[in-house]
Amino acid sequence: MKKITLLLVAVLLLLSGCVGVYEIKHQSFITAMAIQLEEEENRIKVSVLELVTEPLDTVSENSEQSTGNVRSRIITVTCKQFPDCMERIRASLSTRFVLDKMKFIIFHETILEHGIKEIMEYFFQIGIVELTAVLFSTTQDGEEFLQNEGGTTLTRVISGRQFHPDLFPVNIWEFAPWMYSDLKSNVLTSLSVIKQEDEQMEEMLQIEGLNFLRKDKLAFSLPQEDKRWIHLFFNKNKRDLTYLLKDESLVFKVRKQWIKMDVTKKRVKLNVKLVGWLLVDEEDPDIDTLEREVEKEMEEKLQRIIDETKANGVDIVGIGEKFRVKNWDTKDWDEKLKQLDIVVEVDAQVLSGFGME
Amino acid sequence: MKINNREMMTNRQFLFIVLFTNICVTPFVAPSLFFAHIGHGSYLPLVGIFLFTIGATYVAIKICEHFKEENIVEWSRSLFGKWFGTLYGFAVIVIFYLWGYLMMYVFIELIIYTQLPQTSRMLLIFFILAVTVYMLRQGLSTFSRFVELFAPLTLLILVLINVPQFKNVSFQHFLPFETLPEYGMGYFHYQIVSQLFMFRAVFIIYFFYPFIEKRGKLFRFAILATTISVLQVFLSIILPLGIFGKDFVKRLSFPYQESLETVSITMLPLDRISILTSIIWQLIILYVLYVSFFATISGIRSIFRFESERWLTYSLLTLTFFLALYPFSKDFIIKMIVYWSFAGIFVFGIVPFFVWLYVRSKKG
Repeated sequence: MKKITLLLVAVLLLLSGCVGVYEIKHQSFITAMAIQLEEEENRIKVSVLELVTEPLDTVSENSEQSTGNVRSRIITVTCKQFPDCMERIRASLSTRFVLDKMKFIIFHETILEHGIKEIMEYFFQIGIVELTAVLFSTTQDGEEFLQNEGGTTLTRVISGRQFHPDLFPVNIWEFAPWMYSDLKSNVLTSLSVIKQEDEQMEEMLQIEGLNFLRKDKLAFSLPQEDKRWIHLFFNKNKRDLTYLLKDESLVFKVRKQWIKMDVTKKRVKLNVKLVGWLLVDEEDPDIDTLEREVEKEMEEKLQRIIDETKANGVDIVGIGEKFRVKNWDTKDWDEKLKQLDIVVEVDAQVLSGFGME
Repeated sequence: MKINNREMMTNRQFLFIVLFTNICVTPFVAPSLFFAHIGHGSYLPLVGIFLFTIGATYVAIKICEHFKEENIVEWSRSLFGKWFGTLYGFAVIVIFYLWGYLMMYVFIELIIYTQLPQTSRMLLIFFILAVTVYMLRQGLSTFSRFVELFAPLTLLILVLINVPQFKNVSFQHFLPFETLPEYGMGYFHYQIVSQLFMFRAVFIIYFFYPFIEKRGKLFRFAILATTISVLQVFLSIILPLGIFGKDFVKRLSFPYQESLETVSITMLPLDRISILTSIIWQLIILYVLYVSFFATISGIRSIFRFESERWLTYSLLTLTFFLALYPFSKDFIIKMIVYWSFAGIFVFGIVPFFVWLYVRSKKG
């Protein structure tokens, strides 16, 4: 009898475990978020893409849409302070607000100019966003972006990002440390999604360029035509990169690259060593001439990017970090950077097809 | 003390128990304390802590060799006299009890924060304590065999959760080395000094010694166990530091847990290696609670001559259950851990050192 009583007491205690259970259909999974600043009113506009898990006939939102098997709806709110926006979104949902399935966050350039530290710190404080969520920027209206994106396009690109030559994906955990330091700039890929005006109205991803931040604020935008060159400093995707040179008469595919940074207090030498294949060359000169031509043109392009970013106090390759590591003075780094003499040298090796010299 | 021959443990079982209980929940609590005071020099104090633990382990084994079949509470009464001995024994019991209580509290907070935010706190405490009671009732040899059985799997998972994180580490975050001494007195901040008691599990030797079969190589096994646990704690400091850098890492409540979250392995459920942490730390916290309550119960029985171990176990665990339900603040718990650690350094570090000197002088 005693044992049965004890068992019953134990079972009663276990019942408390059933109280906090939420079924999937009672949860609102937010898969993407777009944040922008409405400059006229100085209010933050937040749009979220909610994955709809309820049956079709029970959903009654104006902005709902369906893409393949995925159904989603967009909720947009405006507010003065970001946490208030989150509360407003929470209030507009009839189910539990879940942010830890969020795949990406899109920052409009207006909010990047204003600064995003408070927004990011809100995420860190509440600890409900995965640190592997990817950050991007855009010039498109956030709501329109999510509407066109439909919950699948960018998610597909993020999953297969190693196949995309121009995407520069940055996770929250990679981004966060440089939000508190101006010794290296954060970089965000600027994207937009447009609906093609054909019968199927398929969505298409457009890479607009790259945005460089000083701490949490937008400092410099690299235009669309230069976006691929920046990869020569990083090649984060570890993919082959194809470049058109000599007025598009030469196609050079970079297979491997190494970056070496020689730093002195007055001068920085960035040596970019490349090994690649020549895919098309209309003139067919000898190999030494060809390598020199490739080097010269690439040097000019990269030097121009470095000069432009430097003039804006943007440290794209992390020279400031090298200074810090050497325990040199990094006070007023953006001003110091402008005084530095930064030289880019390209060392190109041209191989014939399939890597055979 | 009456020793039941069926309750004996091997050196290897002792090694695994000390290894896992030494790790405890330290990887989740200690790093944030270190980062707050000594930034990118956070791993340096581990050298001092390791040396202190080796010294204290040596002293503990020498004292245990002298008193052979007695635990710390028993020999303290014969050495210090009835009143001082009881007082010292009582301090030992309280420190061991608080070890289990505080670590369970931290673990529950961590689990609620990271994995099970919707789960009832009472339910988590109930399950953990229920399993602890069951293990305590099964006896020491069953517990030792259980730890030994799961040890390879636990060690493998520890490797699996640490190694992938190196992919995200940037060595620059550890530099420059020459600025490490600039933290100066930061290394001697009272919260850092209190961490000398970080690897307290080795002090269970004061209760386990009579139950160990072959005691000749015990020191070597204890040092090996401590070395591996120091390595795990070392990783829990350098991995978040290498991934997030010293400025960002100090803003995180649980840096090691956050660094685990940066790794995404699509083969695992939810893509996260952090899913594995809750599994092995469930085991580790059970080991800690077993060892803590084993010492507490043995100590109480040595002082008060309780016959019924069963009712003592049930009463103690019931008391712990209700105490754990009280929602203390994180700051209060951290303060408690700091003061409790200082008490531990005195009771298990300083007092035994003088006891050892006395015992040595008696031997001539």
